[in-house]
Formats: sequence, C-alpha cells, structure tokens
Amino acid sequence: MSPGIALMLVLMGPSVADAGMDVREILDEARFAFCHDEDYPLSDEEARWCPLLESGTPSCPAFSATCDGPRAEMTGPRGPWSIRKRRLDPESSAPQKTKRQRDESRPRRTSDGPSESGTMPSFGLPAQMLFWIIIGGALLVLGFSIRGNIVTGRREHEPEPGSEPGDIGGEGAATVANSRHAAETDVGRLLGLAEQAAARQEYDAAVDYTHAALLRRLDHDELIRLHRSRTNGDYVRQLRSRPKIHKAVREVLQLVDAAQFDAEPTTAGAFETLLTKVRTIVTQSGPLALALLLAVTAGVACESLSRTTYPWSVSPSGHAAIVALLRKRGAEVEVRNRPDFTLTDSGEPSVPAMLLLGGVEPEEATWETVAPWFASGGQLVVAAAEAPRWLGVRPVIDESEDSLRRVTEPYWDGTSVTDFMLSLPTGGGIAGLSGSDVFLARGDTAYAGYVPHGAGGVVVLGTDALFCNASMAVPGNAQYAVELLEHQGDTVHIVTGRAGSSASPNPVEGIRRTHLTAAVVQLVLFLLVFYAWRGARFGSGRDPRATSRRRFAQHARALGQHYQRANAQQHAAAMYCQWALGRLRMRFPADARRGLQGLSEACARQSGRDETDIVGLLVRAHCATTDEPSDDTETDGVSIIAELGKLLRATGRPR
Amino acid sequence: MNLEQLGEVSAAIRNQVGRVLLGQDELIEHVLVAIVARGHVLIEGVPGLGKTLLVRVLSKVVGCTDKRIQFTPDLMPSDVTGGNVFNQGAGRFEFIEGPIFAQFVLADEINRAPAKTQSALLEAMAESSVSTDGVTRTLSRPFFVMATQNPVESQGTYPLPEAQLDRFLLKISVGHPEREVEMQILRNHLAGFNPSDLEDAGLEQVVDAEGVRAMQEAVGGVNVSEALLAYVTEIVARTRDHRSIFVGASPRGSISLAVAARARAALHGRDFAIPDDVKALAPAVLRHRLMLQPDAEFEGLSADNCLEQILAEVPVPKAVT
Repeated sequence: MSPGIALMLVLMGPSVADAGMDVREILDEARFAFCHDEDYPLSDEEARWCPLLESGTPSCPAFSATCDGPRAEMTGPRGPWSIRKRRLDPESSAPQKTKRQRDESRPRRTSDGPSESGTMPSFGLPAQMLFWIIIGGALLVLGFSIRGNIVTGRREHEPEPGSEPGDIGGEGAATVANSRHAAETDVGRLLGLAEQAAARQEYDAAVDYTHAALLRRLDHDELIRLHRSRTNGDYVRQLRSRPKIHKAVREVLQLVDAAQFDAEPTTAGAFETLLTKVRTIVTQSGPLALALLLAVTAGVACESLSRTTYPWSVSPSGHAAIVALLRKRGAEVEVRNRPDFTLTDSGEPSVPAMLLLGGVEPEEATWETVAPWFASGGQLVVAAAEAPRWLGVRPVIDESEDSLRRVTEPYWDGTSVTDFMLSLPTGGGIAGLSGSDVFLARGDTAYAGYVPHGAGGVVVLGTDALFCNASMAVPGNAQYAVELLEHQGDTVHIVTGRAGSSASPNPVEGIRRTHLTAAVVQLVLFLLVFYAWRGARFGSGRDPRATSRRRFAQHARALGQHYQRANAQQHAAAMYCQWALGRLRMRFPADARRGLQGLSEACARQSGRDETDIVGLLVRAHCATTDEPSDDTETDGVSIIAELGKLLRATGRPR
Repeated sequence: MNLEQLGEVSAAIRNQVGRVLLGQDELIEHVLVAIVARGHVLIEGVPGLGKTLLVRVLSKVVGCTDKRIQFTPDLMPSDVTGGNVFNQGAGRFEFIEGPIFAQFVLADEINRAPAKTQSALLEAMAESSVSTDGVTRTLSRPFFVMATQNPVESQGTYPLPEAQLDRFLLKISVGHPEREVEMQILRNHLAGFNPSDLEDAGLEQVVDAEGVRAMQEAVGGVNVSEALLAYVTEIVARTRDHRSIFVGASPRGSISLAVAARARAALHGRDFAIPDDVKALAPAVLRHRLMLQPDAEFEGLSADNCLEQILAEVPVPKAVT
C-alpha cells in the first residue's frame, strides 16, 4: 500500500468530532456576510460555487440567493486588496429573481448585519488590549477634563471663604471681577459670569466680563491683539480694515467706556443693551461657518465610513473560516505570507505542518534548503502554490465537468469511510505524479496526490478552493479540509502569500485601501478653510517682532551729526588724529621710535606716496591733538580726518 | 454750555478749520484741547505747514482777535508786551498795547528771540497778565499762545530752557502732509484759494470769545476716575524711572496730562475721560518735559521713543489681559 493511500486511510478513518457543527457555528457569524446577506455581490470566480450550493445549505442559507443577485464589480489587484462593490448596472449577467421571490426567500436580517468597516477587525489579543487601553485612556482624560472644568467653574462661582458677596464693596467687587475675567478666557463662560454678576446686581463686574468676552472673541479670531497696554480705541483702530465689524465694536466699546469710567453707576438696562450687542458680535464670526463646513464634510466622511464594505478575508474567496475552524478545534494556526522551513535546536521542524495557498511562490533557493525540514518530518500541503521543482509536478487546466473521484476507492471501501463527499468547482489539476501517488482525480486528470519525502511528505492539490470560505459551506468539504490539515500536526502555518505582500504602490492607493479617502479629504478641506480664515498668519509664530539694531555705520553717522551740531569738529578731529597716529605706530613700531620722521618714512615706503606730504599730514595731525583750534577749524578738522583715513587704508596690512 | 453742546461746537469748529487746513486733524484737535484746557501750544515744524494759517482760521472761526509776532534776535520785550509812549499832545505817557494783548497769539520761531524777550512772553502765558513800569495789566480771555520753532536750523537760536518749555501744555510735532492731501492743497490753490484772504474761503464763525470761555468752564464737569488718575500717575512716574531719561516729567506734567485728557473728553462730548484720552495726549503733553540721557541721545533715541515704550508697558485701567 502506498503512503498516499495510507494517508487517506488515516484521513478517512474513524472521524474526529464532526466538523460540520463547528463550521455552521463559524459561518453563522455576521462577518461571513455572504451566508446571511442575499444582496451580497459575488465575483464571477466565486459564482462558480453556485452549482455546488444551489440547493442551499444550513450553514450558509443565503448563498444560493446571492447567486441570483448581480455580480460584484471587482477593482484593484486580485486578493485581499481588491475592492468589491455592488454593481449598479441593472443588466447584470446574473439571473435576477423578482423582488417578491427574493423577499420571500430572504431571512430576517438580525442586528448582526453585513460586515462594515466599523466592525472591529480580528486583531490579536495584545493589539486588542492596546486598542482598548488607548480608548479607555482617552475616555479617562476626557472625563477628567470635563470634571476639571466643572469643578473650576464651581470654584469660580463659590464665594471666597470668610466673606459673603455682600461684604465686598464696589471697588473690591471690581477687583475680584477683574482678577477672574483676567484668568478666564472662554467667551461663553465669560458671558455666563456676566449674567451671574448681573443677577447679583453687580453691573460693573458684569460689564467687565462682557467687555472681556468681546475682546477675547476678537483676539481669538485674530482681529485684534490683546495687550494690557492697549485701550479700547487701540482695538477699534485695529479693526479699521474690517468695516463691518468695526462700527459694531466701536459702538460697544463706547458703551463699555461709559460704563467703566462714567461717574454714574451702570444700570440694568445699559448692561442688557451692552450684552445684546456683544452677543451679536461674538456669535457671527468665522467659527460658525467653519463648524458648518466641518459638519457637512464630517457627514460625507461618516457616510463613506458607514457604507457597507466586503472584507476579502470573510468573502467566499477568503480563508477566515478554515482558520477559525482549526482554532476552534484546538489547533495552533498562524497565517503568514512566507513559509518557514527552519528547524529548532533539537532538530525538529519549527513548524511541523504548512499549507501553501495559491499565489505563494517561494524562491528556488528556499526549496533547495528544505530537505532537512522534510527529513525531520515536516508535512507540506501545496494548494495551487508553487510546488518544489524536484517534485516534478506541474499545474494543468482541467475543464472537465466530472466530479471528483477517489482513485483509491477499493481501499476506501475497506475502511469506515463510505460517505465520501468532496465537491469543488472545476478548474485546475496537476500532472507529473505517479499513479500510485494520486488519491483524487477528476476524469483523467489528477487533482490531489501525496509524495513522501524524508520523514515527511508533500500533499499537492490542483487548486486551493478546498480551503476557501465558500468551500466550508459545502457539506463534507470542511471535514475533509480539517482532517487533512490536522493530520499534519497540531501547529499549522497557513501561508497565503497575500497577507502583506501586496503593498500599496503609492500613498493614495494606501489611503484608498484603508477607506480613509473621505476622512483625508475632510482634513485637507479643513486645513484649506482654516488657512483661508486665518490668512497668512496661519502657522506663523506670534513672537514679538525683533527690533533691528542700527548698523555701525549708522551709529557712526549719528555720532558725527551730533558732533557737527555741537560745533565740535575740532574735538572730533583731535580724537581721530590721536587714534590714527596710535594705529600707525602700532603698524610700524620700529620706525615709530624715531618719531614722526621715522613714521613718515615707513608710511611712504608702504604706500608709495610722497614722504614730504606724509610728514606734513602727520605733523598737522599731531598738532591737532594738542594745538588750539585754527581759524579754519571746520575745514581743517574734516580734511585731516579724510586724509588720515586715506593714509590708513594705503598702509593697511591684511590681518 | 453743557458737554453735549460742547461736543457739537467742537465738531463744527473742526469742520470749519478742516476745510482750509487739510490733513492736519490731529494738530487741530490738539490745538482745540489746549484752548479749552486754557493751555498753550508749542509747535515744532518746518516752515510752510500752515501754522499761521491755523491761528488765523481758528481765531476767525471762534471769533477771537489774533496777532502774530515774528521772533527775531533783536526783538525786545516791549515789542511783545507793549510799552509807555509819551504823547506830546496830551503831555503824558500812554501805554500802547503790544501784540500779546490779542486773544490768539502766534509766536513764530520763538527760539530766535533772546531769553529776555522769551521770558516776557512766557510770563504772560503763565500769569495771563503783563507788568510794565510797575503796572500789571490783565490779558483778555481767552488767551491762547501758539509758539512755533524750526527743528532744522539751530544756529543763531536761543533754545528754550526746560523750565520754560514746561509752561506749554502741549508740544506738537507737525509733519508734512500725505501726498493725496498735498495734491488737494494744490487743487485748492489752483482753484483760487488765497490763505491771506480768508474772507473768500467762506468760513463761518461757530462761536465767539464768550462761547470759548463757556467751553473752558464746561470742561470742569468732566469726570476723571480714580483708575484714570492712577494711569496718569503711573505714566508720569515711569518717565522718572526710564533708563534713557535723565529728568522725567514733573508733577506739572501729571496735572497737564489729566487736564488735557479731560479737555479732550469734553471735545468729544463725553462727561468722563477714558484711557484713550490720556494715551492720545501723553506724547504731546510729556515730550517737552523730558531730558534724555546723553548716551540715549547719541543712540538717536528721542523723547517720543521713550514715551512710546512707556505707553506700551503701562497697563490700561480695566484692561483685559
């Protein structure tokens, strides 16, 4: 008896717990919408399951109805990232039931409707814990903030210990009010405080609060810049460029001035007038428009988020059901996108059994190093994936309409397995296996076979249809698939090759895949409106403008002008001559020891100018530092400075 | 005259003066403040900005007599105050009144006269009376002096000492008009406006001398709150502590600021002064009462710069911060 037949004997031997019940429970979950929503749009490929499920099945009652509905419009790459939309085209290729027929056959939809994007994805436990911790933390912070505001508000309204409201005199009340509205910045609360003060008939304090509310609103809207040194007139002048609000604010601030500085006490009527005018101003600003826009765009975003989506993993083509089924039966299942053929330190396969689904294409080098894994007992199930080259199998297209048949039928008759049921859509087959290795075939084409290798072996399947969600709904398929995999070991890695291999080609595609397009558009709109509202100052710092220092040349010019106004040219010339002579002596220290004559010789040598002129200039400069002013003081002083400047430049050395 | 009427009269005066003197609204307001506050004005500005015209127009609009004194180095005190002249026909000395006896006096280029002559004028400004040969003569009311000086030419001048500058309520710096305003001035002149002949300008007298006195009386009804007095005091006190100011404003400066603020409030028809009144007038009231540190002057700082800093720091009463 060949090993393959032996395997099948095991597979079809005394069955473990019936998988049918488990499958029914799993597919009963709302996320498997194709089993519950008769309007679920099937793709053309998925529609191939329709003949197999035409009569309906208890575990997937709505599937047969979906077969009558319009086909899905699939966009994007095949696999998890394809977008499934309900086709609006009434001329769908699928046959349509009448509405009445569909209503009659449609089961009542419970609250567990079709899967929506708002449904919690099936994260791992740590991720779920982290998610709920973040949500809980955010709620706590929100709660504390609200509580803090309420407590602060209460404290503000509570009278100071040891003093009744009536104890505070007029000036004292104003001081308290001033200190409070100085700390309070919220316009709404300031107006509330104003009303409370008015209720206590403290109209001066009420006016102060109202005044603060108005200025806070204008400051918040960047219409004015609040500062303690600015008067109401300053604020009115800041609003000159906005005629609409300028007039209204000016009128209000005139009322405020009258209330605050007039000798007459403020009356209730005056306060009411003021409050009404202030309310009109503070409620007409841009935030309202912004809030409306946000509300509208948020509505759009929410609408898009609430739109029904069809996650691939729980679609008829996905593999969530087999994963859930295996886990439910106690197996450790991990979904990966790359096979792991490593061994543990003890020489055991780190993953004893692996299922490679369609689309997985391990590199050739991987297959060359996989021998030790098989030698240690590794079991591999290749379902429409790239099989090892040394196996010698290749996929073939099988278009026969025959049903699957057991090649090992004589042996199976000798076992307890007599109710063989395995129904899969027609499609692929395999070629290259020896006849003894084949255990399932469709017509003349082999569909499944087992090739032993080392202590382990490889099960090859023509397609991966057996493991998809739709297959689980077909009676018998689930049990066959589960037993096939459970036989390999308690730990199974399912390698889909799609769990992350298809990265977004660009950020736009990434946003689209995550269904965040509407939210991102809303955010961009918000930023645009915010920019338009705030203008160029949006995002700019509010630091005070740095005062520029005068350049040295300006400083020197200003100094010179002061000397000129004071008729102190001679004094300036004397100081400059002293400095210039000292500078020259520093440049030519050896020559300077011989007095002005030596200095002149050095300067002439360095500059190439006539020595006699330089001697004359230096003597005049020396005299200017000591002599009385000459008759032509102004001309002399200025000319000496100019000539000495030229000489210094001519004798200058690079530093 | 109540304050409401005062506000209306003030607006009418401004309107009339503004028809002739274009683009000098602040100057007109400051001069009116000085008039109703019974103060005097020192105007610093280059020639040709309409200072003489302002006095003439003002005197016409408010129905007061006006005189102009051109100060020169050889101007004697008696040229300002007048003096006793022997009348041969009567055989006795008779007092001939000088230009100071007008109600509105324009002292043009006051810094070109020697100190003695300046003192004669300044005494008249302070006392509202003139003493000659042992006889004191009271000047008519209202009495308003508008002195001018040229900030550019300093040679051959006698700068006013700080103690005498202190007697001016306001020192106003007049700048050149805006281009558009200057174009309008040109258009008016080309259309036939003659500043020396105001009869053709169609000016209307808004009030008379008695009305001006009533305006001055009405200012007393303006309330200045304690908070505002504290604001004035704080501003003046800070001029004494400022690092760039050698000598700050005197208590007379505080008084002048409060009085001027009150007058401005009255001109706006209010019976209460507000921080805006103080802030608007503080530079004009205080700039000539400050002496800067020498190094600050060398740095190019002016009294206006220091006052600007002070006003930007002193908290306004009832301010929202």
